Amino acid sequence: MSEARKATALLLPPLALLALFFAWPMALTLREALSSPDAWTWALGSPYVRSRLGTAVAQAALASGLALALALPLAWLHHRRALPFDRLQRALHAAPFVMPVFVMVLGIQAVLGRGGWVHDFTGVDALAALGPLGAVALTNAYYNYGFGARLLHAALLRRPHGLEESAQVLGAPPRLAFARVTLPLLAPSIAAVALLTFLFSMASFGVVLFLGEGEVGTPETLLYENLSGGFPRTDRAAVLGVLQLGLNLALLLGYLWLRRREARIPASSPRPAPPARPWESAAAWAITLLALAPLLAVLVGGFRLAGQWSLEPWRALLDASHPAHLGGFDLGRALFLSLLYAAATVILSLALTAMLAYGARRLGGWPRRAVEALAALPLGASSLLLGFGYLLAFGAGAWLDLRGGVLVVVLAHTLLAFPFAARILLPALDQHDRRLDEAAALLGARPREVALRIHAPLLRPHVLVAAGMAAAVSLGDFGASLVLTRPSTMGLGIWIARHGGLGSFDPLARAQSVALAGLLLVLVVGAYVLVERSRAPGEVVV
Amino acid sequence: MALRAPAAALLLLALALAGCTSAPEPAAAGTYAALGFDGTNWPRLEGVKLTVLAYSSFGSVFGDLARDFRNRTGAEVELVTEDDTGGVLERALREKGEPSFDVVYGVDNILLGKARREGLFEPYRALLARDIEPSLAFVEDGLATPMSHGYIAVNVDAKANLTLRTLDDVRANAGRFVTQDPRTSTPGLGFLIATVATYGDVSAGYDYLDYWKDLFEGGVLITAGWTEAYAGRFTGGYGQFESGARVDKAIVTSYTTSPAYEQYYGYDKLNHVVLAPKSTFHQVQTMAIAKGTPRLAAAQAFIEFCLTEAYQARAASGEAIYPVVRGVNVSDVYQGKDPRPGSFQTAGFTPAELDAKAEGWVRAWTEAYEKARAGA
Repeated sequence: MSEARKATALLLPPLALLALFFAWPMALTLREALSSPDAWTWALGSPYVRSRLGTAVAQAALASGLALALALPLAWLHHRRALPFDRLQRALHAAPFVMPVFVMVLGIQAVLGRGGWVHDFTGVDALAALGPLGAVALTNAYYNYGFGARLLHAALLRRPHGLEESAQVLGAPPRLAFARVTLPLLAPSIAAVALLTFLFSMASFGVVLFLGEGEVGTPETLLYENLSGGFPRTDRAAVLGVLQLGLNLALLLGYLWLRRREARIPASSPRPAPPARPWESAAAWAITLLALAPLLAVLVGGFRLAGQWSLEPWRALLDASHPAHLGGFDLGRALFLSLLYAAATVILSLALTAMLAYGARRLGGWPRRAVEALAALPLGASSLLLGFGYLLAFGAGAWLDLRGGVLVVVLAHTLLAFPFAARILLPALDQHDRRLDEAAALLGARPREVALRIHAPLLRPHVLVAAGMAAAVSLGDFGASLVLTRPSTMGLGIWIARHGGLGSFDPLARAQSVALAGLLLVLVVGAYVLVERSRAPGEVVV
Repeated sequence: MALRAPAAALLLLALALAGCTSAPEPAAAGTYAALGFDGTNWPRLEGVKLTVLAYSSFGSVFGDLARDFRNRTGAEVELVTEDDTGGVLERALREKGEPSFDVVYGVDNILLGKARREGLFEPYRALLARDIEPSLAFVEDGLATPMSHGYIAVNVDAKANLTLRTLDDVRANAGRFVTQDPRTSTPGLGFLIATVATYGDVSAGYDYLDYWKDLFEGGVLITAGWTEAYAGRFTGGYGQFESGARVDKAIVTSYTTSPAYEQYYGYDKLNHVVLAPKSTFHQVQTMAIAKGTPRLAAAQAFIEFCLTEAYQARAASGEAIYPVVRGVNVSDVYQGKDPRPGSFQTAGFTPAELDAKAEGWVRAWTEAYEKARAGA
């Protein structure tokens, strides 16, 4: 077989996997949706759906605005001054982006909610004052602002100082020079941050479910409403799923287009910024610590009960005979499963991406772009939608019944994580200097040796970043895990919810939830550190 | 790549685990009667691990029950809960054919028809079912075994100084009323059925949907489950003693035994129950065996065991409901403070009527609910 044929044959496994475990479930969802015209009338016409989607758009728009309002000054600060440990601080601000939903919700509640830090200090229940819409928008903004700051900061690194100076030489005042020269070039980045925050906020599930108090809805919470209880309406759920898929894909395409425009802007070498004055460094650190408060609250909360330090939550979690121990829960097993899912997701995602990358190398033009688009496609399907599709495709009565096992969870996580890995590794392999490969081939190396001996070491940082992101996606998954797992296959994420901590008033149950969330937080931070240590400065991960 | 080798081993392990469900057990696939159960002799079931799926408040009696069952038969039992009975049925439906549990407790006389149509259960005519009160033995083919019963009714906080006698009075105070979503909670469903019984099915005049429209306009709160409503929001429940509960509603849908239950646990006031004709609902909870369970004998043994005094006597103090077995005395718990069953008229639909119509009522309610929320 020719080299080209062999390489293209590599494309078959990933495409087959995408077809079977993404396209097929989505096709069945579409079929379910098309089977019921009533469900379409309801979804498109019902005032209830419209009002829920209205709140979804409202909170997403608010979140985007808020995220930009936080990200722009932060990026500007890091741009104008060389702060000590600035990479670390930017990484800390962006940490929420990879955090699981429970960590965020419990953290926000622990700081701003009833009985939280602000309440203890000032007697004000800030979360209630914000109202459900405000609380959801704030949490979604908090998720994305740090990532947005990083994207904007990276864009500012490419600021064309030379062009600005030319403008100033021609008589423009510095502000005008900036506004007329650089700002238009920054526009795609600003729009990208807004659009990505909007996309993730519209797709938000856990945050809205637990902080929305039923007042705020998104397509995904509506989907869940129609799936839960004794009288589920799968036809309505399917219609909502299809609509959500369409919406997400449209927003995603917009985001990808903006990022491509951004990439076309010629890079200029960054100028070193003047060192920060002491009060500026202190202020920057104060802001960073403030931003980390919810995460710190979660870490600490697992050891506090009724205002005192206590190990009781951990005792209840670990001791099966403890009266407050939740039936069916085994910490060792839950932890093992979470790590197993993460490890399996990492391996499968990396393998898929590698096959896709090497298989597509020989292709040019539109087949190449098609492959890249396919790799990004699963980003449009939210976790719950994928889980729902799997229930249809691999559930009761299907030709392949995967219920009750770990495989279906691994597959769902892999489908959700692999687009992130692809978006990191595909460009990295593209940018690799082929002359090295050619030189090696001249010296007698076969393609596989080239891959192992040249690509692997050079791409190792990117592989680690991709691995870290895949692990974070798997550890933080909620929607798919909610519908696809049963007590014997549930990971930490779902057990946090089942401990009733999010709605519960029983302090010990809640403390157990927070303790588990703290544990999950530590695991995700581990994955995140891997990402951050390996990432090149200025490189953005989505 | 350095990461792959150890992780690949882990993946193989994962796929291997995917096939396993549990460690090999002694054969318990035959019936319990075949092993020698005759009502007095309880054959041992060493090494068997049974899983029971139930609603969360069952946990309060489960610890002692499991211990006693283990002493009697040697089998271990583990409890897995969902928040409310709707969640129990949801899980059973989702795992149809491949259940993660052996016994399910929480499908009642309203939902049993659906469970029957979906083929979720394995019938079993329990030997000790002969001790069940005949009027409660509504399942002829033994698809499920009645295990407890109660009367769903509106409870009013004694501290609130409200005299509510009928559902009309409840409507007048809708803003202080919290009830449960009938899709996810059977007390909520029971209350919905009571409104159908009181105001009539859809008609040109004032029907139950008009009643609900008025309730929504009046500001009634709907929660997903009973615990959130009764303990989280009701000012007269045990939640009032918990620091984290946001108790702010004086009227709640619960059981006729809830006020007496609160007194038994030390509350000094007796809440009031609305007992107007047809404003209450008689709910019979059943226990059933999951279809396809490999631990049939143990599942049957557990059902038989729950029909003995061991569970029936504790049902009252543990869960604020009534036992189904004749002759079990609950007066020491309720002290005569519960409205005597039979002294008030319940909604009165037969299981066949409920099975035929409940889903339609729930759908109509959902439409009314969504319409009201859309206006908000």
